[in-house]
Amino acid sequence: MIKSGLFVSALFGFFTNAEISLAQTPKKPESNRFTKVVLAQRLEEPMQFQVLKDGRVLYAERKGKLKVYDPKSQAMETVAEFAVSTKYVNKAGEVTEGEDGMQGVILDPDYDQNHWIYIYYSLAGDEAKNVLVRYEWHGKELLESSRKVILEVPVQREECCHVGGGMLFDKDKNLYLTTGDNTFSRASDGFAPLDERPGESPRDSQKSSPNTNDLRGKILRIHPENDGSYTIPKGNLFPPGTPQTKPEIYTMGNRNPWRPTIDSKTGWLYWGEVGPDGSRDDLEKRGPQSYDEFNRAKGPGFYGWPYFVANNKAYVKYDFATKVSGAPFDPAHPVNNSPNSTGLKELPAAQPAFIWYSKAQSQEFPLMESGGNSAVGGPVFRKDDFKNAARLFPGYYEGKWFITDWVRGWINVVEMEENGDYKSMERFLPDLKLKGPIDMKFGPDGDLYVLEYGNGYFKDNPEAELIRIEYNSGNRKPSVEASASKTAGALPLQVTLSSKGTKDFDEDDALQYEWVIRKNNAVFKTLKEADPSITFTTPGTYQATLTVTDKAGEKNTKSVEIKAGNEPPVVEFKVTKGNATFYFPGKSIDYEVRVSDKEDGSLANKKILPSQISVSTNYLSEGFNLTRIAQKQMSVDASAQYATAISLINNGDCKACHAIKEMVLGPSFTAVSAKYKGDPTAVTSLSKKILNGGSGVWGDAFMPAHPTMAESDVKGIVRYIMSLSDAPKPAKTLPVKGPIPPPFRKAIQKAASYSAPPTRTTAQKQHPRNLRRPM
Amino acid sequence: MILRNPVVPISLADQVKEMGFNNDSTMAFVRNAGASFRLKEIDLTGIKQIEIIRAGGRNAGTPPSGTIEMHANAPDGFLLGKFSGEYTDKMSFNITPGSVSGIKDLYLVFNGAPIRIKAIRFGEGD
Repeated sequence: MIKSGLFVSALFGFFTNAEISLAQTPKKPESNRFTKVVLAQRLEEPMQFQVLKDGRVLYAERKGKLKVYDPKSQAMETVAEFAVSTKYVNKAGEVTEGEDGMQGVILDPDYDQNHWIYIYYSLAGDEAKNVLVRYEWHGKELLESSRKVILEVPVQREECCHVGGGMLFDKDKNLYLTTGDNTFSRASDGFAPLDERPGESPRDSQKSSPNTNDLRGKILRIHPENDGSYTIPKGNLFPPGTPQTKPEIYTMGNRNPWRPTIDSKTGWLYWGEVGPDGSRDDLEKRGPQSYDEFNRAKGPGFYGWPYFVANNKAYVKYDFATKVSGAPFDPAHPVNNSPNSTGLKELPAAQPAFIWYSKAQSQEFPLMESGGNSAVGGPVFRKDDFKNAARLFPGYYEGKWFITDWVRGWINVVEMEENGDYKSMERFLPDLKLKGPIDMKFGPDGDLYVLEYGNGYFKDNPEAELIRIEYNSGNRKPSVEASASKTAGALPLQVTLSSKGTKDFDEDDALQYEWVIRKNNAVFKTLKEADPSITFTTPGTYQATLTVTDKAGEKNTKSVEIKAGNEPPVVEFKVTKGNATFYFPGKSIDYEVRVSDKEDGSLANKKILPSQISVSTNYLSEGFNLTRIAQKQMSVDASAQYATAISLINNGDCKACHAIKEMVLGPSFTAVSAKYKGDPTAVTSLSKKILNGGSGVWGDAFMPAHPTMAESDVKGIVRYIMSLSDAPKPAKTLPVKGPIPPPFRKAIQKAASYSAPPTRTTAQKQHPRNLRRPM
Repeated sequence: MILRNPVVPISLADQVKEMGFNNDSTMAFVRNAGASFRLKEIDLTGIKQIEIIRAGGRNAGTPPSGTIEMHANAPDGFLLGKFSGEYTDKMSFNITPGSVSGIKDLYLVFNGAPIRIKAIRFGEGD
């Protein structure tokens, strides 16, 4: 504060020119005039959001739920649950989790009149496609009869990744939709996936991004019509009627274009685009190392993938059968000769990226930092976009682009020249570190909203939050931090709550602290100290919310969740023969997993069975990849969770009335599973039936209530029953003890986890570099 | 748990003293004699040989020479092994047999002419 004051007066004192330029260019606002406000916590894989005029936030969760957050009641409600596809089944029949699911939601530009919302999601079922649908929504449930399928994007579900799903409307009410290349990224050594061998099209990006006749790997631009159809606006890449092309295409040659935005003044389109995984150049044989990109399109065009990346750095033609390299691709005359393409061979000249950055420290854009990366995107700020906004970002940010990265968690502000050329970049709020930002845009109130997914992929990350950043020109709200000395443990559980880190930038403000502890939304205790201690003697999940109030009555809050009565399990992964730091080619390793849990016993005393432990190993030739580990561990986790369910069934009273295949008093589990197959509400409704009892569905027999069973156990049983009608079984877990044989070559990773609902610990040491999401 | 490639790039070093890095941390250079860095929590089970891989580029005309020592848990901790002499592209030395096993923080200490390092290879000696 003092420093910057001296600096400015020095400028005024000695340089008259500086004074003039200061008067013309608004001064950079102090960071402490921005306050981060946490709106909702513990979101479950949030993907994309929309802020309504009244401040409610509608957002999509990957596993299929559409939810709305109301800032007045601070409550989150489920609007709808869609049956979404999230899995891939490869040629060997192995099931893995993918990025598919519900990708996003957007309001119609005339939402106030027509109440239409658009949703893009991966349709569950045998037909592999992602669909853009429209519904009427009046604030409660979706009007089911209003469903219109606007657009379908056919995909393959053999090998994962890259769905895109970013959406926006321009001022002419054209809808832009980003689509990913739907291509496996890990079979090409970190370079372009160009596998043209028969049957390998999931590993050939040429079927999608540079295919003029395919909707994948694009940014599509359509004009939705009132009857649920759409028309093609003027100015797309190919005029309607051009043979072997899709008229919806605005940009092509995109790998995984993520969140798009439009500068409302220039009409130019900006977006973040995720690149591949490789971290080394092999310019002679394969091509450049991987780069993520922030892109800008002044009009339609071909953005290079999978032939070029960054500022048109060319990949080399490569025969995946013979492993022979050809010539580098030519950005002036790109040609798509792949047998997997159904489009034109001759493609438009490739457009370079606007900003590009690899895993290494960027020379051109040093503020992008180094390490793992995953470009997201963000909004271009224009004052005129906001009418009657309560708070507005200062004029200093006019026309600047706010960008963020899912792995790196910073926000950078990019300034452009008048003609749109890159001018400079600076860090926005240097102390702010976002936790897996996945969508970022301004709300109608002028605040910058960020949806944080968290940094573990395919997981309900405890750090997943909806936040907003407010600019305040007057009294500043307190900035609140809340934590607990323990967040789970056995009874009696003594916890010290802490407000450490809470501060207020208005110097003379005296702060008032209040902790409200709730259980099942009912107030359990109120404490008026900054750092109180509390002892929990009854089991349950408690929410401790800290509210801090300043002299002017401005409040801010933050919550922490505490689970009393269940100590988290301790999981150890030990190498018993071999080196525990390095992997040496051709050597086998012996390992042993040890698990102990205060409530449930341990592997050693046989209260926890080896079948309840999931263990997997991965050989990662392209460096550490968190998603790859998550994918494999998730599939083996499923088999361990089923083992827990089977033991619950065997030890409970289920078998008195049910069998797997035969009808006893009640229906067989297989029949139940077949009846509710594909029903996204089955787990919830069948769990209710087990807990509360019921009858009438399967004849006269009564299903007794089981009120003493834990809901999480019941849900696990239902998930196991439902799995009986899914043909492919989850991947088999490794034993808890034993050798890992060769033939791994470079480095392997191991993960072990033990599921003890509702707390779960994954024993996994991770190296912080090369953290990566393959989006 | 992660098992790494036994060739450890210099970018993974920490607690660096009297050494500098290039922009993307793929190369480190010694500034002054007594320079050192740490490789944290390395399991020495089965490790018999260490190889220091030198970075290419500007190296002096007459071959410089110096001493590189590896110590356990502190720059002046137990001496695990030592290279001494003229620098070459790869400089290897043996771990004193039976001297140590299990997980240790390793410190590499440089004395003599300045040197540019790219990576450290851990070998089983066969």
